[in-house]
Amino acid sequence: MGSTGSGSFSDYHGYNGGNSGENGGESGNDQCIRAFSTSLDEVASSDFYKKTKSLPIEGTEVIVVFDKRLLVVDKSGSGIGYLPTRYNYLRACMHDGFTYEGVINKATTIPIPSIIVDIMPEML
Amino acid sequence: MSNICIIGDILVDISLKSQEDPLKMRLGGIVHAARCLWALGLDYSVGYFAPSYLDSHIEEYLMSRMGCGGLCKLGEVMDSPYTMLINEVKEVGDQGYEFILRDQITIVYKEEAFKELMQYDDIFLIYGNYDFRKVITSLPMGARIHCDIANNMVDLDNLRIGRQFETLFISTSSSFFQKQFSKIDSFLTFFEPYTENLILKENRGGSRAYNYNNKDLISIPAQTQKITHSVGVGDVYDVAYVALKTQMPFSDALYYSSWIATEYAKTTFPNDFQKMVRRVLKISIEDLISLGGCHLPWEERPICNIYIAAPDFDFVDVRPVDILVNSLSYHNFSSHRPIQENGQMSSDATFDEKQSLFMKDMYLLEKCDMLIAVLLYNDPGTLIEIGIAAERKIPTIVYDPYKIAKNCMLTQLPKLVSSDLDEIMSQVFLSFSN
Repeated sequence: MGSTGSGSFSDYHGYNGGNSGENGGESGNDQCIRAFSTSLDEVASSDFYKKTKSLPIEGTEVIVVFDKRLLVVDKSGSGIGYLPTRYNYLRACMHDGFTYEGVINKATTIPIPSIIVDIMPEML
Repeated sequence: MSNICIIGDILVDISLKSQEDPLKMRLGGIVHAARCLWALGLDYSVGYFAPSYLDSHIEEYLMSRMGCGGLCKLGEVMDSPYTMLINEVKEVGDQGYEFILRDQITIVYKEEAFKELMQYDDIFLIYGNYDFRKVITSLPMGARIHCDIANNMVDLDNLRIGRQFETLFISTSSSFFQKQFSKIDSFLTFFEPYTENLILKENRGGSRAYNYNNKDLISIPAQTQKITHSVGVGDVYDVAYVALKTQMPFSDALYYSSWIATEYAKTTFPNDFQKMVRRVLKISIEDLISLGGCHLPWEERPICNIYIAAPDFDFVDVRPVDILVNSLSYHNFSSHRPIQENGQMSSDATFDEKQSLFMKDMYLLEKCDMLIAVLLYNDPGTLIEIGIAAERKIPTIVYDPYKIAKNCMLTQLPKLVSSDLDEIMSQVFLSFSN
């Protein structure tokens, strides 16, 4: 049997040995530039649903804004739901010039009002 | 002169290769805290214990790469490679840390080097294999001493040194906590003679901090996000707090520390971490507070009853069920395995026997606050229970270790379907979060 080896401590900027992608100081994958798809929280208590008792149609363009939490609004500024807290890091990204826009991928009121959005980052 | 001195062991962390992740070898121990101070752009020094073969690596890494302003070896570690094998990096459950030859460790202290510790004002120690009493009594009388006692400390004898700590950190995974905690009030009294502040880290459930002078207990939510590892994350939380509390109020420093620790857990690439730390520090404290997070104290978790739906029969390989249940238990949740609690149906069961088991299982489900189904195969009982729970609006999660869920009723009805146990555990915490 042969053996494998762990050649050196490699987690620093400028490391140029070993397998690319696993070593070095940076991964090359900035989480701020990742697109994602997610269901929204608190859709039933959103401004849009409370006013209209309906949901925006699929394909509606949306924007992520900060209003105490990360709120997803339609183009008229009406809130349709919050991003789950696992996306809280986007607030840090926004401070670095990123904005987040997208479309409603799925909207249904059965069994409860729920919306899935596809969100893409943009750099100002 | 550097402002903060970090003292403790430096060892080699090896996260073992898994199906999802490659092997990763890093300098560990107090180096995790050093990476944090580097990311924060702060001056710091290090006093360490390590075997001699690591000295050149430590010097190169900390001094040339991680902005360390002063390096002082306090003791030579003998008879052990000072290497930690880490079986499970995300602390989904017990991580299976294996410290090679730990019982053989001897340390030869460098008495002259201890004099260098006299120059520091803020000293952060991580309890380890070294003589804690010897180190503490070598520190200058006016120094503010902060110490994480989660590792190794099993009783309070080592705190009876006649020195007052400014901050003690402990976590719910520490053996002292596991043995002694019953209620937060009584737990706090253990440390009152020794420290001004106690910070209890509760993993994905957030943290609590108590100031013994003003009797103020505050809760800080955790940022529950998809993580890469949890190795050294608690140390990063600690040292970020030690560094930031000189610049901002106690509670604000804890909020930022929690966010910074989360960023450390999301990557093993230091420059990625540094970039996100800089972004986090741009967020105002008001925004951080309003964004919230997960808050679920340890003692509130046992009342979270979780029904485990699975073909949990004695003729089935139920190891994924065992792993899930052990993870829930590790985090102090109450799980219920209906077949173990109510019995397994025999192949020749009568109608009345079937009815009795059915009613017991339905009664158990009714008592539970959540259902987690484990898809070992397409077991009809498991699938029906998912449907019943979802219809009753009981939060329903599906753990799908073999990625067999394809049917849209199955994939869309639950709150989450995942083969990633870390994701499952995070969802459990978030679902029960206050």
